[in-house]
Amino acid sequence: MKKVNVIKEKALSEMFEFIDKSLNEQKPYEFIQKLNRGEFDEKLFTEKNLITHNNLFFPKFKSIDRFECARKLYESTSNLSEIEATDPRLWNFACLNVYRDYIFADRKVNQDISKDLFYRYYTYSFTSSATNTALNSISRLWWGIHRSIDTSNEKNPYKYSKILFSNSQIFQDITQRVLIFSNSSLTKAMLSFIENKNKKTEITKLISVYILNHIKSFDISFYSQKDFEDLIEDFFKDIITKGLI
Amino acid sequence: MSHPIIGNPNEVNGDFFLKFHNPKIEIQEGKSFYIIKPDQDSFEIENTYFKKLFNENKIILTWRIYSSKTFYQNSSTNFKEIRFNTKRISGSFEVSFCLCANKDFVFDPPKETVNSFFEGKTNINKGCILSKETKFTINPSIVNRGGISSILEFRYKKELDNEYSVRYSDPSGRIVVYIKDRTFFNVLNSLTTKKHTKKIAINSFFCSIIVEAIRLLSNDDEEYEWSDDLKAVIEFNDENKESYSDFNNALNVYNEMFGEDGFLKNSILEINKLIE
Repeated sequence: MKKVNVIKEKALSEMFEFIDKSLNEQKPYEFIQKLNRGEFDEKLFTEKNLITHNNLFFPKFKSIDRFECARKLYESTSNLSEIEATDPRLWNFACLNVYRDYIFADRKVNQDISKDLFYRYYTYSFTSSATNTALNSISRLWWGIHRSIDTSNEKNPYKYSKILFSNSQIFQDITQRVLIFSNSSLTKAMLSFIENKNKKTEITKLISVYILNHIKSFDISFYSQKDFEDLIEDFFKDIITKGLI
Repeated sequence: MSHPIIGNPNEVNGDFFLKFHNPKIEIQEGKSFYIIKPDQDSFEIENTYFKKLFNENKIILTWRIYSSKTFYQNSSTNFKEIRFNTKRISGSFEVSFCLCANKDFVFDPPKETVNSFFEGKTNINKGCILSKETKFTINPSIVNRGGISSILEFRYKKELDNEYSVRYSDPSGRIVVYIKDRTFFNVLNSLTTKKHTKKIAINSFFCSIIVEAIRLLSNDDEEYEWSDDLKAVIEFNDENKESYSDFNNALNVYNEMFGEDGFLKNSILEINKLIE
């Protein structure tokens, strides 16, 4: 276990400069190999560049099962506030130091990795946003659990999280649609609905359009998860009737 | 048939208006909370039929806040406040409001209250939106005791060489003023949370620090994480960037942008009220 650290603002900016310069001089894959061997650690992660978070730890991932990793990460760091969990200084440290081996395996990094993909997999942009949070290799694990955990279900709080992480397509379909992912009740209702359906991506896409149209005419602020489930059922009936799927 | 939307002059005669109180920050048991509340006195519905529907509780005001960074959202109806921990939102956040149906009812407007195209009966379902949606952004307050959404915060620190130390480049991303004296820290803490003394306290202690921060905005060599929030508060004009480095100008910006009708004068008037 490693203590949770954040990279100081100035050091982070210097780190981005260093990465950019390095990627202009060598292939991204070469750079990643050096990074994984810890060759840059003394330069990038010295104590003076870091701020340590008391009592929080980044756990070791023992497998590359995304749900298990996400659950472990969330349980060790659930005391992070939502603001802290959108901090680029935190997720860049997690990606470039603590979980670089995990990212290598999870993203199946190979020699052909481009500069753009390197940035997408290994860094969290300088400014936080919903898109960055949903895309970053590590922050998406934390937020995936945070938006789908059912704290009212003591016996099985990860019921919906398991569905979310069960398939990378479902994960992408839900987390990259801000309309759904920003609303926890809607996220759970969608997950519950698509759990046993075929053509999950097509259904999610179509239902998102229906929801988008619905919110133009109806205020959904006070909808419960059950309201959303009923609504999605109605939309699905209409989708079937119209032969859209 | 579809129903008309108030706020669209082609569909409904007369508009509706609402303002919100300035957001307040309250400290309770060491935690800080934002309090957002619509100003009931500012609420007005010009259209007589919509006004009647509101008075009969068939339509209500619904409003919500949303932070796109942390996905935090919260909703309320009519004039009930929303209170939430400042740790849930970073930087600016969005507030939106509209009028919507509180129950199922038949919409049957008298002649000339709406465009004749919409005359006649229409079934309205609960939750149906009957007005344009208004959205605006709330920017963070300038001084806070420790809430993440602030530009400036102050902290007690025993191990200081001098009485005070100001850090414009603190890892927290805010301007941090360290105070050596515990008693002074406690008093300042208390004064900045009370409505009647907040302005005076800010002005007495933070004026020079904020003016210096305004001056730093003109400097291209250094970038500060708090600069975007401060720029939003003072409505920074990029075209006249250099002018902010001038002390007189920075002082006047501070005076104009941190309180209505002149922050400096009003702070003095408030001291006067306290001793009267």
